[in-house]
Amino acid sequence: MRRYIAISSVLLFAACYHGPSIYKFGPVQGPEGVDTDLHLQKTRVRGELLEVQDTALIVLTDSNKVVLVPVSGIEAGIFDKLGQLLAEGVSPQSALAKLRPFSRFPTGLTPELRARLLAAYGQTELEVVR
Amino acid sequence: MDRRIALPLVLLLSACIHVYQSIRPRPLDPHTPVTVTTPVKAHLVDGSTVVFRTGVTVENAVVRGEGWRYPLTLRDSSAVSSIPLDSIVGMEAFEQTTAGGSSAVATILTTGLLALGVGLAAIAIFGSCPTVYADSAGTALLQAEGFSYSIAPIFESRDVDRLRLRQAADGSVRLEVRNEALETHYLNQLELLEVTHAEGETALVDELNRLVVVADQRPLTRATDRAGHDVIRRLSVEDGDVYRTDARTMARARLPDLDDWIELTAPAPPGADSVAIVLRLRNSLLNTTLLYDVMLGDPGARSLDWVGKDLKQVGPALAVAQWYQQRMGMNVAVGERSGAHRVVAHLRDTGPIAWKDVAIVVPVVTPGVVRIRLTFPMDNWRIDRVAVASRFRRVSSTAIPLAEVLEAETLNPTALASMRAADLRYLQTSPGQRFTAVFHPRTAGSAGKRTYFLAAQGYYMEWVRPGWLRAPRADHPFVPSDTALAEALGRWRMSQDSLETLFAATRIPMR
Repeated sequence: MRRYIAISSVLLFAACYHGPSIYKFGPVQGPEGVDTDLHLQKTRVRGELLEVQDTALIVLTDSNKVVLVPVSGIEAGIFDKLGQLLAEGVSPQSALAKLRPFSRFPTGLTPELRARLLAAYGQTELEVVR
Repeated sequence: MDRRIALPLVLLLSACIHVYQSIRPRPLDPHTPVTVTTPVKAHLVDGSTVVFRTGVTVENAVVRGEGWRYPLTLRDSSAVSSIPLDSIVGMEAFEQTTAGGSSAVATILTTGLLALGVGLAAIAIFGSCPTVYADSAGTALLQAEGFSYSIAPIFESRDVDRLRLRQAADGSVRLEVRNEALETHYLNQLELLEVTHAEGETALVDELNRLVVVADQRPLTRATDRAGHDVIRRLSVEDGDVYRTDARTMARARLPDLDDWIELTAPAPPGADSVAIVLRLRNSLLNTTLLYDVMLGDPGARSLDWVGKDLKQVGPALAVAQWYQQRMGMNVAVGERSGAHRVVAHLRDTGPIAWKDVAIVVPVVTPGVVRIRLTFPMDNWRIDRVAVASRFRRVSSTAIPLAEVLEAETLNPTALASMRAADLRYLQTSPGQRFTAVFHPRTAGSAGKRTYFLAAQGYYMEWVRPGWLRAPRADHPFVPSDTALAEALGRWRMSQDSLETLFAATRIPMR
């Protein structure tokens, strides 16, 4: 028994770790959502992931616009340190569940907060990008 | 893995855990604060975010730590040392994982669900590993519950459950796998096992997930509980009229006497050196009370660290697993000629949702008769039927790999790849998510009757309930002991009627 525990402990401590570290990953160390790069059929949206909805992502673009991107229109969704999680023809539900904690507002935006956020960026409505 | 180690680990994983919110508020001793040492983000009612890079201390109703508060727009920031729990709509505690893929996994505390409008979070008690359903004429029939009690990656386990279903018209087997609890499920592998046998035989799984075919099932000739009551009628037919521990026996539960037992007698065929005990049973919600209310609920925020860190270490995990093996589940013992009982098998907890059909091979000590004692923590089981099969044989199965995964009606090749083999790839599901697993058995040329089993491997992480954070009862993480079981028994005895009703009513609705 002792030998097994010792071996197990050695193996655990000797393991190599890959992927983002919680001590370096932006969405863990800061308030921002994960850096997002969405490839649509005719355009591309890059910015910070604000909110993950059931069928859409809300992104604060690099040009400071708050946009809504329907997931159905995303050909490829690439996220900093997380890799490509969204791809055309692949059901997105698992990816959305994985992404949600790394958005700026994982618990969702209330209508009041959304309105305040839009106002802060000079908008009254979400701009939909397809 | 050494069996001495593997068994207790596996046993911990074998039944489904459930939770309820019947905690009475009791202020946490301010001199013994709770500490979470991993990075934490708190999302406040006013839209601002507070980041505690070195973790937090939860002391009474206040979260303390070296934090930075950012307003809705993140345009500036200010240092903060404490925030009231009431101002928080959600907190995330981040931990490092080793489960492959992206190794950073976040746990969203259920306070956040309130902001999403999922009001069930505050009262939901339905908790379980994945539940598996099959379609029967348009109705989803519960078939099994997967890797139960696998509450941390180190406890990842493989469960095998007998399915009662028919193949679809196209020959496929389709199973709907649901996450109906406030948990994140990590599914490593789903596999169908096919056993072919003769009509009149029944294929079952034993206590170690091995497959057994039994025949000539005979009723018991005698069955009495600890109090001496005749319970043979309850155990003779599969009818939902189940055995449960007598209330008067439970009322007398005192440390260290926390067990109930049933004495069984049945005929054994002449010359037989062993027979198979056939049981149809499932757990009560006692282990739900123990594992969620006492184990995770009482320590409050300490459970974040306990599950996220302590249980990932071999030492603490073994301590919990070994205690769980000794105290929970069911010991199967044979009566010796001396009158003593010798334990010959241990059946792990199977979960309180789906009925489990098992066969346990026991030796015949006295020619012509078999005497069995089933011993278990008081009221830990609901036993619908017990019989003795005079013929049995161990069999091998044909493994049928997962062929398709459908979300709604859309193929998900990523999910399929994640669950096709037991490797470092996992499918992660959140509360309310479901998918359909499709298998294609090879039907041509196989004569006889076929029985299917689902092998499911994985683990799950329980979501910490807001009530646990607000009203912890203990000032230390869970300590495995009979005292904890006695505490759970006491609470279960007082709340079981309301808990059973609430339990069934609070499944997380599917999206």
